[in-house]
Amino acid sequence: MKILIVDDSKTMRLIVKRALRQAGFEDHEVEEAGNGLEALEMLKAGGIEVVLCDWNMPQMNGLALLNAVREQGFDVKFGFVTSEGGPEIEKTAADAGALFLISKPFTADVLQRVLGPVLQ
Amino acid sequence: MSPPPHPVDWWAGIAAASITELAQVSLGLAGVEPSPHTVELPRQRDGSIISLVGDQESLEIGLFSDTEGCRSLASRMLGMEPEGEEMVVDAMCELANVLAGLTKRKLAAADAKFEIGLPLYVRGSIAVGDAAEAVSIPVRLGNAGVEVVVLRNLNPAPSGGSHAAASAR
Repeated sequence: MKILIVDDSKTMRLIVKRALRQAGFEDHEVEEAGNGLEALEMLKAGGIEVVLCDWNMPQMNGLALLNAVREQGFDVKFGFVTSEGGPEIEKTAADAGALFLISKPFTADVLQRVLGPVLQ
Repeated sequence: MSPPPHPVDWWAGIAAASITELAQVSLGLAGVEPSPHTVELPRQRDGSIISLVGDQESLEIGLFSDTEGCRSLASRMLGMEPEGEEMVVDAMCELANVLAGLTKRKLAAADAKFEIGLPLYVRGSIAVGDAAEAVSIPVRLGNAGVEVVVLRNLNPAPSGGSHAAASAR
């Protein structure tokens, strides 16, 4: 599968990529975007099946990206990897169509448990 | 009637618990023991700061060290030597972001709702005006001597206030 990591922090994109490898998902192709607008352009280009997205980002935040993804009919599995967390945020994410929300900081074990079913 | 604002020491306790969790999960450092107490803020420091804005209260949390300390924290977070200063800045901002997220979740458990701002990297001294009170939490994170600084705004803006209490020089 082709996974798109969307985060304005290059550090966090590196950490998510490393955690994906540690979680045993090294066979999947990974691309990166620095914000929601950039991600939307990459989605339009096609091929992306899973989006791992930050919540708080400049220009277009994660929730706005998810809404745009759904409005524009992209058939992708979408989840958040974010410093946000808690029942209220999780409900907002789920209501918007997110499959999961992983709160930072996270371990490779958490990524494996949550993403395992998604990447099958 | 609004509940009374929490004292800055209460915030310091929350921040101390958050930095302990951050150290363990993001930096691989178990057994970190921050000890909140009021001290004079560092004169010359590098670090990152981020706001947490609520309806009744707002605060800013900063993570400060010296240049080498920030590089050490970035290296530990990345699992590799950072490629240039830009990556150190990015890593420090991300550490502040995660610290704010942990703090926000602990606040939510106490029925306090806050919005997280975007992190800023600052270099130099931190000036605390009359509109804020500060607590510094010294902690050693690996090779880095770090101060977690909590600034509580005494006159929070109704909404969207950010970095109102402190300015980097």
